[in-house]
Formats: sequence, C-alpha cells, structure tokens
Amino acid sequence: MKAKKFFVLLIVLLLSSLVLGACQPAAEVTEEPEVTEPEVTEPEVAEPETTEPEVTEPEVTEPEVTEPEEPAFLWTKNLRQAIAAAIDREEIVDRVFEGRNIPAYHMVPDGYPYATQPFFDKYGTRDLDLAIQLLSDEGYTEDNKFVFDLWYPPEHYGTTTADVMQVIKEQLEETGLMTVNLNSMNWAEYVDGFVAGDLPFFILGWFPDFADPENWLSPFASCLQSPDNGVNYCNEDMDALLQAAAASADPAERESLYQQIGELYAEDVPTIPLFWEPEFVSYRDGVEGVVVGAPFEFNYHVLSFGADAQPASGSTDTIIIGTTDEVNSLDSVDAYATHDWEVIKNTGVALLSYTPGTSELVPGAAAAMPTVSEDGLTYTFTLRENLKFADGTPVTAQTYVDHWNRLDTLEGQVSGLIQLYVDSVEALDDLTVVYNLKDSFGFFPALAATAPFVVANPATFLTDEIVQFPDIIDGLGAYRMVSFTPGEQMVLEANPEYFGEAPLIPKVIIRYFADPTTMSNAVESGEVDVAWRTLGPVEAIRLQDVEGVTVDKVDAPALRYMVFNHTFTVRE
Amino acid sequence: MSEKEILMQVRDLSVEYNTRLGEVSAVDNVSFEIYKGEILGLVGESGCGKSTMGKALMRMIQPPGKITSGQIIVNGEDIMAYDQKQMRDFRGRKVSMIFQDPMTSLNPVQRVDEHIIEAIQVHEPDTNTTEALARAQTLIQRLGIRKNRMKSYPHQLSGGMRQRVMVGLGLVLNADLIIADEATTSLDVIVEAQLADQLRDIRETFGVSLLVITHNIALVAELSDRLAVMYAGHIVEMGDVESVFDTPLHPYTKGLLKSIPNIKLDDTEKLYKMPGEPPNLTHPPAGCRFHPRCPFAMSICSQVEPEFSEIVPGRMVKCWLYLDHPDKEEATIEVTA
Amino acid sequence: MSTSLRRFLVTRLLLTIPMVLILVTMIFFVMRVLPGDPIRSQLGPRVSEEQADALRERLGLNRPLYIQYFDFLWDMVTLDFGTALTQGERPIRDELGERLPATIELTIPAITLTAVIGIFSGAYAAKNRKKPVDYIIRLLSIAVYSIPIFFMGLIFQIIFSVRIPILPLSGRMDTLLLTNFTSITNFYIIDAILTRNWPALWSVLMHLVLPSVTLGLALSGVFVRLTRVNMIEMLQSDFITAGRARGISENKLVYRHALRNTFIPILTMLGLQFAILLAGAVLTETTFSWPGVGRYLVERIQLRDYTAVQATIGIFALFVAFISLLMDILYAFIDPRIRY
Repeated sequence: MKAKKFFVLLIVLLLSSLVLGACQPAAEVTEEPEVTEPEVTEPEVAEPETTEPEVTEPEVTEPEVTEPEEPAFLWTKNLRQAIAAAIDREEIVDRVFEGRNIPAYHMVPDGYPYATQPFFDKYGTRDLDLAIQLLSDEGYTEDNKFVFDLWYPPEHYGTTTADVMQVIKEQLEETGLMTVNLNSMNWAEYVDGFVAGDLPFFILGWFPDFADPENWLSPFASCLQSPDNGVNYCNEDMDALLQAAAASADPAERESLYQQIGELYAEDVPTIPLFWEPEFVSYRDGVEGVVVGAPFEFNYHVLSFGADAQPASGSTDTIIIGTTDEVNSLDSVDAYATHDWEVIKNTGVALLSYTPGTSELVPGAAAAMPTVSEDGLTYTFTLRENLKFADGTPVTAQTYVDHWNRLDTLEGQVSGLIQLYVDSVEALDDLTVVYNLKDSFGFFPALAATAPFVVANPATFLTDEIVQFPDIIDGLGAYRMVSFTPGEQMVLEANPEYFGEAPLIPKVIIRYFADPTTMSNAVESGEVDVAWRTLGPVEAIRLQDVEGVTVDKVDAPALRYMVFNHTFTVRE
Repeated sequence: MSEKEILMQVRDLSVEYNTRLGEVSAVDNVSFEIYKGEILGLVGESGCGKSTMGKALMRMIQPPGKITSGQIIVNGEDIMAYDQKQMRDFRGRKVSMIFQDPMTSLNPVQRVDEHIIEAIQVHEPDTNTTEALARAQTLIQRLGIRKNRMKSYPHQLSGGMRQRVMVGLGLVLNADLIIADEATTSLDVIVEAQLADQLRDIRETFGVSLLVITHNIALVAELSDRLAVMYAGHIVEMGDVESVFDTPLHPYTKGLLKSIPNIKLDDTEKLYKMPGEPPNLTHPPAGCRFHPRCPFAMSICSQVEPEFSEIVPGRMVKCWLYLDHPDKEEATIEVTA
Repeated sequence: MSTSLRRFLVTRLLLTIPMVLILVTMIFFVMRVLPGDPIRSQLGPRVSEEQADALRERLGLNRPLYIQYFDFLWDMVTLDFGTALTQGERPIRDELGERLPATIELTIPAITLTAVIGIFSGAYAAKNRKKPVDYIIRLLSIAVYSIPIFFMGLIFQIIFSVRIPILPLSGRMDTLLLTNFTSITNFYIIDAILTRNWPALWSVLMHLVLPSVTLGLALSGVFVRLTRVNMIEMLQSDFITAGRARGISENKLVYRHALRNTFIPILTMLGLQFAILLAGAVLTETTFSWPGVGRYLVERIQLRDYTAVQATIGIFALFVAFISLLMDILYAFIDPRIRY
C-alpha cells in the first residue's frame, strides 16, 4: 500500500513541476535591451585617406569595479578593437577550412559596388601588438585577465563552427591578457538567448536579401535594426552616414559615404566579419548553363543538355535537380528563404532581373529601367505590353498595386523588409506603376529584383490569405509549377505565355533529399542531373574525384561574423 | 517357467555424460534382456541411472550425454547401427515411452486429437486425417476418455486424463515395448492405481512389454513380473518379483527392501536407513561400486568388480558373495532355486 | 466472440484513452518547458520583435496555457490536429495524412522482415546450439544491432545503388513516374493498384527494398537473441522430449512445436519493437529521403513546433496502443491457455 501511494505522489509532483515549468516562459516577455548613449564621439567625416588615432578614453568605468547605480557595459571600444586586431582570419580559413573559404575584411562582399576592406586597412591580417596594447590600456594584466564568454550554435552553421571558435579562442588568448570561455547552445535557445540580450559575444551568419551594401550594414549598425540581430549598437554618426548612403542616388556620393562607413566600422567595431562560406554546385557531364552569379540566383531556363549528356530522366526534355532545402512558402508576399525565392524567381519575374550569372540589372517584367524622380522618392516603371500569367490572365499595373496591398496587409514573413523602404504603390495607367519610397533609397532597383516584387497570380494567391503551398503556380516566369509533393518533388513545365525566350529544357523536376550524402550519391549514380544546396564541403570534395561529375564552387555571399552585444552589462 | 521370447537384448551398454566436473559414468556395461509380453520393473535410488537407461534404449540420450558402447538388439537388428531416419521410425512404432509429468509432456498448444493424428502421420504418412482421426477416437475411448474431450487442450484436462492421453500416445502405433519412465511419480495414489491397472490391462490385451522405471518399490511389487535393481549405473540384481522380494540376494536390495515404511512398525522402531550415500560417478569406487556402503564388504570387493551373473536360472546378481574368485578368501554363498 | 473476450477488448480500448491522454499532456508540457521558442527559431533573428509578437498572437501562443491545452485536446478529439506553427502553417492533418502512409508503407515490410529474420535465425541457432553456426549467428546479430542504422543504410546505398546500380537510391518512386502518379490514399502500393499503374507499382516495390531491408535488418538483432534464448529453454521441455520419443523429426520439433510455444514472448517483443521501429524509421527516412512521419517529427522538435509535435506524438501513442492491443488479441488466438 505504501509503495503505491509513493508512486502516485511522485507522478503528481512530476506533472505539477512540468506544468509550473511550462507556465513560466509563456508569461515572460523578452526584455528590450536599452539603447543607450554612444560611448564615444567620433571625429567628423573628413578625409577618407587618413584616420586619426583614437585616444579618447571610454566613459565606462573599469569592468572590475561596478558602481551600483549605473550598469557598466562590458564592451568598451578598446576591447572591441583589441579583439578585432587579435583575430587572424587567414589562419582560421587555413586551419578549419583548408583555404576554401574567403576571409572577410568588411561586412560587404568583395564583388559588390562600393565595397572596401576597412578591417584590413586598420588591422592588417592581424595586429597582435595593438591588441596587447589596448588590453593593457584597459588595465588588464597577466594576473588580471579579461574574462568573457563566447557563444556559438554547434550545428546550425555546420559542425566546423566549434573548430572556428576554438581557433579564435586560441588567437585571443595569445595576447596573454584574455581568457575566453566557449559555450554552445542549440539553435532555438541560441536565438532566444541573443535576442533577449543574454549573450555577450557570439557568432551569426548573414545572407543578403538584396544585392546592395545597405543590406549588409544597416541590419547590424543602425540604431533601428541592430537589436534584431542582437547587436544593440547605436551610434548617431553611423546612423547618419548609413541613412545618407542609402538615400543617395549618386554613385560617386555613395562611394564616398560607404568608404567613410567602412572606416567607422573598423574603428567602432559593431561586429567583426570573419569569412565567406562558399556554396558548391555539382552536375553531371553534359549539363550546361549552370551559372550562379553574385546575387546568388540559379536560373533554370538557361540550363541545357550537351551532345553527350545522359539525362537522369532518360530524355533531354527533362532535367532533375536535387536539393536538401525545403519549401517554406511559395507566396511571394511571405516567402523569405533562399529556396523559396529560387522557385518564385523561376516561375515568375520581378520588375527587374539579373542577367544570369552576373550582377547586371536588366528590365524584367518592366519594359525598361525605371525613371527616378528628382528627390529620389518616386520610381516609375513601365510594364511590358501584353503581360500575361501562365493561365492567360492579363497583368497590369493594377495587379502590382493589389500585390503591394496584399503584402502590406497580410503581414507575411518578408513584408517587414519591404515595408522598411516602400511607402505606397500607385497605378497611373494600365502599364505604369509608381513606387513611393520612404526615403530616396538609391538601391531600390536591386530591391525591385527580389522575390517580393514578383507579382503573384490572384487566382491562386487569394487576396485575404497567405497561400504557402499552392497546388500550381501560373506566374510570369519561364516555368509554371504544375505539381508539388512536399518532401518528394516539384515539377515545373515551360510557360507558354512567357514573354521571353522559351527555356532550353521544357521540364524541370526538383527532387527533395533529406541528406546531403544521399544527394551526392544520387549525382554520382546519375539519378539527378544537378545537385544544388546544400552539398557541403565534404561531399563536394568527394565528388570532385568522381568521373562524370563536375563540381563548381560558388562564392556565396554567406557571411559568418562575430557580434558584440553592446548593451551587455557586466553584472549579468 | 515357459520359454519366453526375447524382445530386446541389451549388451554391454554404457552411457557417459561429459560434464564440467568430469566424465560421469551413468550406465556402465549393462547387459540384460526384455521378454515379449513381460512387465519388467527397474528400480533404484535417484541418480542410479535408471532414467538414463530408459532413454538409452530409445537412443534418446542428448548431449552432453552419449552412448559410448554397447548393442541394443531388437528383432535381430542392432539399433545402434540405425541412421537418423531409421531411428525416427523406430521411436514410437517399435518402442514408445510414457513420461513422468503429463502436463509438461504434452504440447500445450496442441489439442488431444492433433497429438495423436500427428503421431500417426509421422509414421504412416499416407494416412489421411479422417482415418487418423477415427483411429484416434477409438483409442481414446478405449482408454476411458470421452470422445468430446478430443478437441481439448492439455490444460483443460485433469491429471489422470492427461496421463491416459500419454498412454494412448504410447499405444497408438502398436509398439512392442512401452517404457514408463517414472510414469506414476507425479500422480496421487488413486490415479496411480488406475494407471497401474491400465498398464496391466494393456499388457493383457495387446501383449505389449513394459519397462516400468520407478523408485516406487511398492508399485513394482504390484505390477511387474520381473524386477531389476540398479545402483550407480549397474544392475545389481534381477529376477522375478516374488523371489527377489522373498529372498533378496544383493546387500543393496536387502537394504532397499528394509527401508520400505511398514505400517506394522511400532513407535519405538526407527525407519531403516542405509548408511552412506550414492557414489560420485565421475570417480566411482574401485571394484564393486556398492562396497563403501556394504555391510558385507570383503577385501576383494574393493579390488575387482563382480560380474553380473545368473547364479540360479532366472536370478541374476552382481555380488562377490555369490561368485567365486581366486583372490577371494571368504566362502561363496550357495543359492537354491 | 465470447463475452469475456468482448469485455476484455472494451476494457482495453477504454484504457487506451487515459493512456494517450497522459502521454500527450506530458508532451504538451515538456515541449513548453524546453528552452527555445518556435517563433524565434523559425524566423531567425532578422524579424523584429514586434513582428515576432504579431506572429505569436496570430498563432494563439499568447493565450493562457490552460486555454491552449484544452484547445489542443479538443483538436485531438475532433481529429483536427490544428496547424503547424512553423515552416508553413499547413494543417497538420494534411501533413500527417501525406507522411503517415509513407511511414507505414515502410515499417510494415520492415517489421515483417525483422520477425522473419529474427525468428528463423534464432530458432536455427537454438537448434544448432554450441555449433559454429550458432556462434556465427550470434555474432552477426550483435553486429547488426550495433551498427548505426543510417550507416548501414548508406553502405547499402553505396553498394546497391551506386557501385552496382540495381536498386534505386532514395525516394518512394521513380521521379518521372511520380509526375504522372495519382495518389488517393498515399499508400503508393494501393494507389498504384487502384489506378492500374503497373510501372509505378514496380517502381514503388523496388524503392521499398533498400529502406525496409535496412530497417528490418537493424532491428532483427534483438529478435535473434530473444528467440534463441526462448527456444533453447523450450527445447529442453518435456514435451519436446516426448515428441522426439514419438519419432517426430528434429526440424518439426524446432520449427513447429517449440517455435509455436515461444510466440508469446516474441509477440510481446514485436509489440514493443513497433514503438522503436517508429524511432528507427527516422534515421532510415533521412538516409533514403523517405517522406515519412519520423523525419517530420525530428524536424518539428528542433523547431519547437508545439502543435505539430503534440499531434504527431499523439498519433504515435495511438498507434502503439493499438498495436499492443492487437498483440494481446493475437495471444488469445495463438496460445489456447490464455482466455479472457
């Protein structure tokens, strides 16, 4: 009898503790980190060539002694610079990635307009002496080292992340004045952690939404957007520069401004760019037209079979592409993932497009490049004549207005991005669409080439709801989607109403794999023609030695960077 | 005595078990005969080798045991030379066995009729099921079990009924010899008596020979024609039941018979216990295996093993008391028929 | 059906309800206790806090816990299951409706194979106890048991799909055939027969070979050991000796008499293994890109997608309960000693 009661009690306790534990997180509201005054005032933007040495003392007190009244921020400028100086990217790339990755000396990718290398300019590949100097200035000695936690997710960015962290730890500790504690958390908790401001120094990855430096800088360094990435950085001067650069349409002016932003970035170090991870695409011999340009677009309509090709499908009118990605949403007012955007761009056309394999912007659904108003706030597009969706429905300027309204009201995942820049959309006549921007953003053409600007067929994508998994997509693009079985495959067929040249291969089947190894086996055995995202370096290197298979490296704009939580307080 | 026909002749049969402690000599060079239509009782203490003997007669010794030597001749053929197929045919049809615990000796998931039909069809594969069923039914009824119990499972029958099914399985193929291995040990006295009657009945009706292996001497006295006494792997005495009971020759037999509880004993008399214990058969005593416990042991007993000899027609004994030997100093006892 | 058997069935079915209830309640709370938030993990850091909150609001995650709980229970009872929280708010019923048949189509041949390989190897080993073949079988069963499933799957893939291309690599059906395939029940075998699509049927069966052999083989190790041990004991039984005394052949004694008597523990194990089978299916489904429910569950757990995980585990619980009930009923048919 006693044993029975004991067990009942145990179960009751167990259940009630679970219930109590569960109730907690639901009630908690994540605290917004305070955006405080900047710690240092920067010298005004003057000559781009010379940089004045920073000597101004930080206003924050010594980390060891904390005044009970005001919280002291952990990251003083000296400390940030010290870490930026002590990191040797070349070594990381060599040791962990065998030279495959590209060291990043700026947040903005090298091939981009207005890209510079400010971190290299200021710190070279590494400046250990400067790091030691700065740490000593902060009062740290061999007996009193600067101790802090470094966080990373062990699997989200690949298993090499742990190795990268280890190398960084060694590099920082080489100064003799730092002790780095490595910590890891799985992705879900990690995101929670940095959004809540719990992590002082951590790694993140970034993938661009559109091909402009603006998208590589503001999300981390602007007062408005940096909290979303856990950076919590706010510097009035930086903000002013960023806004000016974004709002300028004059290339020369933008170039100068981004130069200054770069210098300020290396000086104030909101984040530290580490390296770019390449992506690999693999395809069987005989497949041609596999090009992925800087904007990271994979266009199916330029793929073709050469003379000696052996198509996986058995016939040259069907090509099979393998991927380990998954479809999250095919509604262009909602989709915010790389694979989704790829499908949307192949079944539809944005206002502007890139010539396949390049970063050259050309007219897409628009007949010509847009005209810009004097104040840079209004962009006017003239649509092509006789534009039709694949089901024959005509596409007019009004379609674009309806599309914008849909994006604005339905609050899909990507709407926040576009709403940052676009204020309203009007249709002047059947062929003329006008975009009124919130500021004179000079990069708007790059934005107009992204998936949210692919207009969706209202027959499938209903006005008052987001349709993430449509049965078919009849869009403007070279292909239409005729079927989709989640987890298995998607079938695309040539769109008879496409305004451009018909695709070289009329049928595309996308095959979804759960596992990169299985996918690479499939390329090897000829079950698929192309394997794209995400092959991973291990499989890519293996396939390089396999006969009949070609592996290309794509310098993907996938950045890994270290984040300082600028409002992280010492007491935490 | 009328001339009896020999059904089975056993010559120099030895069975050994290969255990971790060594080779156990469970049956050592035993020779005897079983006549047609007789009931032969085989008695002895636990561990004397009688069960092993019973199994050996059907070559059912499983590893780690092994028949190491000897011949078992039935119908002029030595079954030691039979191959597997011949043995399977032999078992059940020429010689069959009934077991101690009918509950565990019957397949729990097989019905009574299935048991019998299977036995029939194994040996006579051309028999179709209906025929076999009919034969089974006749047999069952003969044994006193009602027809409607044919479809029952063993656990649905009473102990006595199960035993009767067991007997039926022994009879179904008209075997010449039925070996009853401790068949009554787990039965209560009333059922035991019933079974004994039944066995006798079978012998009367079918002329079947029976080898009744038991440690129940009373049963043997009741039931058997002849009696064999085993000790430590040897048959030490054999003869017709009455003679052996009247005049036991071997000291072991004497001790055994004295140990039987007797209602006539009064309170002051204690039960007779034979001194000592059965020997360790990995290292059996030299000479006569009984000599360490024998009240009549002589010096020769520990040196030379006596032969199992027929000292009077129909009476065999393995003891130096009744045999001559050059080294023997004491006198040999003469036995009259 | 006898009244006692009927009563037994009814009692067991009724008992399933509280069992499933307790299980899904536990899952409900465990999921919420785990650190990590479905919204954040899905959206990542790029979305602002307001948007994340708006999403939470829309998905009903800001409601008081007990309301969410009862809503969830109601969903389960009405077989609605709600919608997934992340990666496309598809109705879970649709997702499960597509994936569950795939998993079932994989696991049934797998468990059959497990049973067949396990039982017959075990019986054979028991029959030939202490002989070389016994040791070999035991060694193989341990090897099969310890090799990780996905590794075995990959090896089979490499050998039979890449090196000697006789079997398909992954997926449920040939890519091209799939484009013309109409699926009604999502059991591709049934659908192929219903639509008389014979090339598709052949493709499905061929695609089933590698994954089900992998899964079936991987789980058979346990069965071999279990059967062997039980059989060895069974072969010492008196009724086996009695049968041998009647001239029944060794083979019949082992494979008919003894085996039938060891079914009870084996069936019990089969029932239990079914739950493990579902777990093993996850790895197999990943290696062979099988669009089943195991893979789905793992993805959703990583994303902290409460509703999807709850519903899926609820379904799993029902399955396991059902299988265990089935086993109990089977006992009655197999062993006449068990009557309710």
